[in-house]
Amino acid sequence: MKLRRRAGIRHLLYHPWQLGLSLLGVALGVAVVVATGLAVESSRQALRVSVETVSGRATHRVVGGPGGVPDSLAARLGIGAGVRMLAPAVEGYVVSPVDPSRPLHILGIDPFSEAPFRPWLAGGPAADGVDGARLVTTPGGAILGAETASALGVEEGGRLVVQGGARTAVIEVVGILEAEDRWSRSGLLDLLVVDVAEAQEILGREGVVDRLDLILPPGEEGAALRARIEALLPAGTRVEAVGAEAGAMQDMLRAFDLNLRALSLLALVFGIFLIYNAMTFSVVQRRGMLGTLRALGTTRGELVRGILAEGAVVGFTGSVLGLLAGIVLGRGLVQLVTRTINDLYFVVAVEGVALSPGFLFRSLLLGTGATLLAALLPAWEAGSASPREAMARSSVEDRVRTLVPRAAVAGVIVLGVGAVLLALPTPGIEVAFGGLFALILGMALLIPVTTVVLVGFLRPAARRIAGVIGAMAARGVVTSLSRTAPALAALVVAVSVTVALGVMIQSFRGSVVGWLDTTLVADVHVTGPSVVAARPDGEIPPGLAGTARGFPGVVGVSSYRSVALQSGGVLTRLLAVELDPRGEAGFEFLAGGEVRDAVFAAFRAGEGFLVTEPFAFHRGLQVGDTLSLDGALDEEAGALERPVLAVFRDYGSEAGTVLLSRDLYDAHWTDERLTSLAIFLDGSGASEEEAARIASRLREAAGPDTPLVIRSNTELRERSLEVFDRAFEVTRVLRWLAFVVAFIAVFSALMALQLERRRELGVLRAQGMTPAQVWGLVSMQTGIMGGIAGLLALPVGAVLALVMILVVNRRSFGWTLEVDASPELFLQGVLLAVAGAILAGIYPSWRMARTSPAEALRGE
Amino acid sequence: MPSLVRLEGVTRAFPEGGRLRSVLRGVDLELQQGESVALLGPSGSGKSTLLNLLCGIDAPDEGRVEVAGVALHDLSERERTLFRRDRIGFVFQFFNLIPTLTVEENLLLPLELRGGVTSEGRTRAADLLERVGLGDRGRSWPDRLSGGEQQRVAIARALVHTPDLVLADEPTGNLDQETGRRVMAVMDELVAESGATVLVVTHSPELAARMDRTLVLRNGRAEDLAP
Repeated sequence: MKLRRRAGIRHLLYHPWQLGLSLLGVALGVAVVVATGLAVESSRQALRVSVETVSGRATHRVVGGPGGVPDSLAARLGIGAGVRMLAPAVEGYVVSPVDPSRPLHILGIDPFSEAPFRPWLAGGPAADGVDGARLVTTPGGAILGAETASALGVEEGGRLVVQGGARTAVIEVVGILEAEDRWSRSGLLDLLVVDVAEAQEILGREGVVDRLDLILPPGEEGAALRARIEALLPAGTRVEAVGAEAGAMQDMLRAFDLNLRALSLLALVFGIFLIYNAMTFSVVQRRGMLGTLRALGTTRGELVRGILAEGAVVGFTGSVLGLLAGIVLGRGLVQLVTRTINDLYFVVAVEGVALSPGFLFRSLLLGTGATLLAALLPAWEAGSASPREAMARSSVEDRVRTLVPRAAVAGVIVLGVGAVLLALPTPGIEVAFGGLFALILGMALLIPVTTVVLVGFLRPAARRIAGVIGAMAARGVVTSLSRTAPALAALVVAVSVTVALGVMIQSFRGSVVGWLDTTLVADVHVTGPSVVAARPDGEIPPGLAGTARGFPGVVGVSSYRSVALQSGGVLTRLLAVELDPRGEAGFEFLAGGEVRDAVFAAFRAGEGFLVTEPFAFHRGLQVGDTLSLDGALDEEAGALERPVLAVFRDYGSEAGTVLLSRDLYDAHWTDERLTSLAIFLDGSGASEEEAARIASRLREAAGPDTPLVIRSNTELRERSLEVFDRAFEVTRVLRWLAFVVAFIAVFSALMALQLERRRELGVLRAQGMTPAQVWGLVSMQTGIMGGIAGLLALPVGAVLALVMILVVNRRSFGWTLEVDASPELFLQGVLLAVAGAILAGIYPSWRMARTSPAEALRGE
Repeated sequence: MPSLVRLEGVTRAFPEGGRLRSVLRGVDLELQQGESVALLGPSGSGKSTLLNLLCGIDAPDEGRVEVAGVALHDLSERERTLFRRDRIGFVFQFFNLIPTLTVEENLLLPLELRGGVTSEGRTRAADLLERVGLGDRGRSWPDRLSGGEQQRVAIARALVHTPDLVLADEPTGNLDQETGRRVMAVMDELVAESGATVLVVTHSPELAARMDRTLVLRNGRAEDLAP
């Protein structure tokens, strides 16, 4: 190994604290990114595999609207269009009382049509002993994967109770599929295959199927066949290529994924600051040595390459460690991410973390690249080390002081760029994140100049409080600016981002609480068992609304039908409502609602839609714009087109929802089903007992085979907040991880700074300063730095919070949030900085107190 | 004797407090091959600046700096660095040994910078260490050596790649008188053997007296001090 490289590596090894903390910084940053990436990738892969498993080899499918596809259509297409490869499928979700937290994906098929599509389910004994025909011959027969069977504690021949959208059924396991590989295992996870008729009964879909799978030949022959099929299709049904649905589902997760990734990148940014700090420190510490090397004939390029090589070694080692930690962390995080997706979007079962060589390579590259990026400036700094440094040591700080105004100017420019990016009239989330990161960098560049100004104010006070030692402690922050500025910048950024994240979560929660207070006006809420917690998607008997209206004490009922519609290649959630006038009070209009009565009159008359804020945002809709929904039965128009009457506040769905009157829905779709009811009781603030009484009567009316989920206003409110809190659990975990990285950044930066002052402290000890006074000096200086960082983090954190709330969140999800920042969050930030700083001073003080001045004066 | 170093009308000024302070104001200077020269002058007279110009660390504002026939004032910073690694040996007041390299490795460093350490180079390094009386300390770390020992290693390092010109910036300034004397004896002997030209910046008349010639920097100009 070359001597210069050897000297560099030894320098790292002789400063194990610095090296350890640098490695920790990279490792933690990479671990958070890897864990988040794994969680996101795993859930996406699970979704893809799940869709592919149930789609099999189908190339196209016939789909209908919410009413589905009449099952008689299969025969019509077979005879009329000559379609041979066609298989009906009914899909839905059920839960078993054995594990209600585990939604089971039910797939109803016709085993005798299955051979070309899903050969593993074809009729007749298959190689693995599973006979699809038994689905037909055994009443309630079901096939499931071995892992799912084991999780539910059933074996072949065993029985399992399941609750579908509207009823309870008992199924019998007639076959257990052994997955051949991880891919199949993931596809089969929580999948329950039954005969199509059985699925129709369990899901309350008699007479209709969700789709008819098709295999169309390629080229003109396929196009001709498709044309023949389309000619026979009834209104409201259409042929679409397989993959459209999966694509639409993946699209729904885009903003969610991006936000998680951006959050995880923040942790890496802290890591970068940590590395930058450590590398800068390491360069500054060695300026004399670097100057000597330059004097001996080492070129600038050789020095820069040397420092970058050190950075690469640290980056790669830290990345490997981070990768390992990230995989472990990812296993925990994937559960949280999956639960959030299940709560807010759709059901997806994740079998494990998806580790691909490409992902691992990218992660290593990211960690090493980030470290090299962080090492660039210190490397340039090393290259600019003049050989004169070998002779004159004080010039470093002189030079750094001249850089302060330049850094400030650069900071203002970068801030300007950030502000422009944030102000750009584009809905792009990436641009918003670019703006956010530019703001963070710009503010970091302004920290040295702010520090100089603040210390100027602090110094007289420090002198009054602690005499010469106080003045020295304050002045020391500015005289060693080459060391203190990067440490302070790391500190301020880390603390302010954790403060900003805290404010964002708090604001979001506050907004949701306020929204729930406005929206939840009914006393009792009724729905069927739902598999997606954030919205009711179960079913209740259609007649239940009328029954409820007849109960004594009930003064009004609003009924809802929630369906997902493929419209224009995008999944659109429709909510057909029959609103009680009391229910109308729960709407907070953000646009178009100036004359509420007129809006509701037009809405009831089916003259237009009400849309949620995220829906309007994502589709770029404004009041008065026409919204077109595909799949309606209106044959002439081909689509249902109505204007948007008003936009209302809603935090229930990130993708957004379209509200239409029940009458308008019934006129365009054949679907009598109901999803939920909101019941208003007599007298304001009806008691829980009253609600319980109504619940009991509703259950009685529905019958024992129809499971109902009935919640009082209070219960629903609590449940909604529970879902909200769960949704933000990932963010909270990431915030805490960022917090930990921030703390380490604070700790390492200041500790390294104090350890580096060993010689200076040795001089003070030699001049008669006692260990206690050294302790006081070090603690005071780190305390001052912590205080400055905490102080600066308050405005910076507030600005970042505003950007996250008003721009990033808005562009990601389309929600407007009320800013809600409690003083505790800011106090927490200041405490983080000060506590980290004081803790960082303990070890150097202790070490100095134990070291004889003579030893310290010997230097390195 | 042919001249190794030739300076003509060299000026150098530095910004200070918003103004330019002239340190060198037209230095003319010639050093012969194998000559040993002491450079005297009060603090701030420009001795170190002159040294920096001679080794290519710095460039003159005006004038010519030629060392071993190479016009340093015409070279780029990188070219001056490459010239320095080949032709110049440096001895610093504070020794400036690389603390993370052993004594032996410190000696081998200039050879490596020139392209690689050959067996001849290793032998020469070992020989020089013997000559400076530290043959048994090759594996020691610099901070385990006394000041005098460190400076002897620095002298060996300055000569290991057989430079044409050895520049020493107050080489005994950080040593006691006796140690300084011994260190200079070693240096005199080794430099004389190598045939290199040596320029020593010093405040010590005793050290200056050991040299062939003494120059003094006064008012930004170099003057020969009469023997």
